[in-house]
Parts: sequence; structure tokens; C-alpha cells
Amino acid sequence: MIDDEMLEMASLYVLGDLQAEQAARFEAELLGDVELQRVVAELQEDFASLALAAPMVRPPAGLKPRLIAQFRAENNPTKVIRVSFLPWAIAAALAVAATFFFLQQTKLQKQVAELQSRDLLTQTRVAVLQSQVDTYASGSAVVVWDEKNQKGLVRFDKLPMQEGKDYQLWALDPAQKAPIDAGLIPVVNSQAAKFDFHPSMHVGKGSKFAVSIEQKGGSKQPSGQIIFVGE
Amino acid sequence: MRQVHVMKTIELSEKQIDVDLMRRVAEGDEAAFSKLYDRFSAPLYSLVRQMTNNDTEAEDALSEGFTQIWRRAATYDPDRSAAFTWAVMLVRNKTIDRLRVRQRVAKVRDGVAAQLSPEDDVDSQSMLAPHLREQARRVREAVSQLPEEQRTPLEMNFFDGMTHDEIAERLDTPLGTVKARIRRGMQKLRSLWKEDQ
Repeated sequence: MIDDEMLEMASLYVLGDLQAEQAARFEAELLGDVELQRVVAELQEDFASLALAAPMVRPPAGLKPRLIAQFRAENNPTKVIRVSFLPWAIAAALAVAATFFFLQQTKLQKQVAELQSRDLLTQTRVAVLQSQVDTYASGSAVVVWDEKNQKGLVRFDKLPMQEGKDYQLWALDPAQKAPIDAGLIPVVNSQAAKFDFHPSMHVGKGSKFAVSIEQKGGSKQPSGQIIFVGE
Repeated sequence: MRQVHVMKTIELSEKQIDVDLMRRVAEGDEAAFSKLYDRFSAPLYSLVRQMTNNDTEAEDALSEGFTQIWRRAATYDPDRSAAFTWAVMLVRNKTIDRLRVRQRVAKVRDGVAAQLSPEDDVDSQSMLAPHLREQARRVREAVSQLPEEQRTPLEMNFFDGMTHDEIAERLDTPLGTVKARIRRGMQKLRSLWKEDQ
């Protein structure tokens, strides 16, 4: 039997209005409680149904074939190179690079898991940022955030240099109306970037992090393309 | 009574089609993705268009949403939610992230409530898969019956991604009252849908 307090938590969870720590505790509760899972599923279905209350608008023509072409290109990157020695050499190099990248990713994931386990004991939080645009889909970005000391470390892989532009990190604090500037990301080469950062304002609990491409020298508020977001 | 039973049967079998499509999408089946796109793209685009109030931003959000569906289909669990529910929650959350980065949460709000209409024309309805068409009719009818004090904060939460705190501030209403109204709104919607079924 679900009590009122848990029902309230379930509602807030579905509505996305729990703080990160509360949400994590609730999810732990959810794992072992079939009845609670059923309640959450029902609430989610009700909530998601609200999407159907929006006035129907036809989606832009041409988006579907573009998406399918994009997926096909991602899945078959070597499909067009069938002849001559050079393409095979490139394919082999790509395979080596992919293996290397996979190993790096695995290593990174292990590091993340380790850091996440340490979270239970410390104030450190690890945010794995998701790419928002296809150009950066193969890249990875991880933020390690020390909330108590208000400082962090960010690491990126496969971040191409942008002529006349800078990458800028932002903290998205639900308690703040505007994103908080967390500094420019120094990209020395196109492979990786790592730097310590200290946001310009206090960053509260449950904050997300994002990266945008901004004019050289950065912006006061994000105005360019958002390439990574995560919490 | 028989008609209601037939509708329920159709709805269940259509949901099963969605589940099968999701399973095939998870295996990288482009034809399945194409069919899923045809079934979900209109309601998902309408959702992100409502949330962003901008055609270009909405197209980007839809593109990103379907890219995520393609990449994350393997994580979908049919025992936990309908495929459409899963897709809506995924696309909505991604769009809220966009709005937050763009600082547009709460700015796109003005006038949104007036845009939600209880009915769409025949052409609009034809954009929806059959099971969603009937569900949309029920949802719109139920939403139109909600008292304004419950409907407004619920829409601000769902379509604008505003937190309860932000809604309380915007409506100049105590936080506890906002929470209670949203929760009562959801409960009332559920009871209205059940009445209608």
C-alpha cells in the first residue's frame, strides 16, 4: 500500500520537480517496489498524455529522410570506401582509433563509476554530458563537480577546434533564472580538453551543466549552439 | 458498451504495434524507425512547437528527440510504460534542457493557455495514429473541463518545464498551493479520462 507521502513523491518525481538527491533516493525506492512502479507508470502515462492537448502541427517535410540518412551514415561509416588501398588503410586506422576510443570510453566509464561510488561519501558529483548535435555525437564530456568547494573539473574527448569561436561551459541552476558562466574551455588540440573551473556565482544542488559554442572570448549568456547538456 | 470494448481492443493492439516497432528500432531497423516516425512525429512536433513557440527550435528539438529515440530504443522497457509515453517524456525532457540553456523557460509562456484548444479540425486529427486520435479527444475534453486554477499551473509545468517554485513566483501564489493545484489537476484529469472510457 502506497502512503500519501510516497504518492506525493511519485507525483513530484513524474513532474520532474524533485531535487537530484531526492530523485536518486526515490529511484532507489522504486527499484524494489512493484506497486510503486505501477503508480509511477500510471502517473507518467497521464502526464505524457497532456502532449496530445497541444494543437496539432504537421512536422517539417524532409526531416525523416534526413534523420534516416544520418543514422545510416553513423552505422556504415566505411560503406562508401570499397576500392583502392588508401581507403582500406583509412578504415584500418579508423578501426584502431575506434578500439582506442572504446577502451578510453570504458576506462572513462570505470572512472565515472568509481567517482560516483565515492559520491556517497563526499560532496563530489559526476555529470556525464550528452551531445545535443550530431557533429559531437562521438565525443564525450564529463564534469566532476565539488559542490561544497564550488569548483569542478571538466574533461572532453574529440572536441574539434573552432576557428574564431570558443567553447563555453555553463551551470544550469534551477534556483537561478539565468545560466551561470563557468568559463571558457581551452582546446589545445582537437582530441581532448581538460580544465578546472570555478563558476562566476554559487551553483546550487541539482544543477545541470551545458556547453555552447560562443564568439571568441565568450558571452555573458549562451547565444550560440548548445552542444552538450547533462546532470 | 460493445463500441467501447472494440475501441479498447484497438488501442491495446496499436500500443503493441508501437512496442514491436520500438524493439525493431533498437535492432537498427530503419523501416521500423520510419513507421514509428509516422506514428509519433505529429504529436511530438506539436508538443515541442508548443513548448518552444518557435519553428526552427521545434524542428531542432524534434530532430534531437528522434535521434535519441533511435539511439536509446534499447533502453525502453515495455513493462514500465507505453512507447508513446516513453517518447514524450524523453523528448520533453530534452526540450526543457534546451529551453533552460536558452533561458526561455517562462518567457514563452505568455498566451500559451489560450492556444490550447479542446478540438482540432479533421486534417489535424488525421495526423495522429488511430489510438492516439481517440486518446487526444479524451485528453482535450478532460483538460477543457479543468478549473483554470488547476489547468494553468499544470500547463506551465508540462509545456514550459517550469518548476513549482517558478510557477509559484509567476502566479504570485504560495508554493504549497501551486503543488496542491497541480496534483489535484492530475487527479481530476485521471478521473475524467476514466469517466469517459
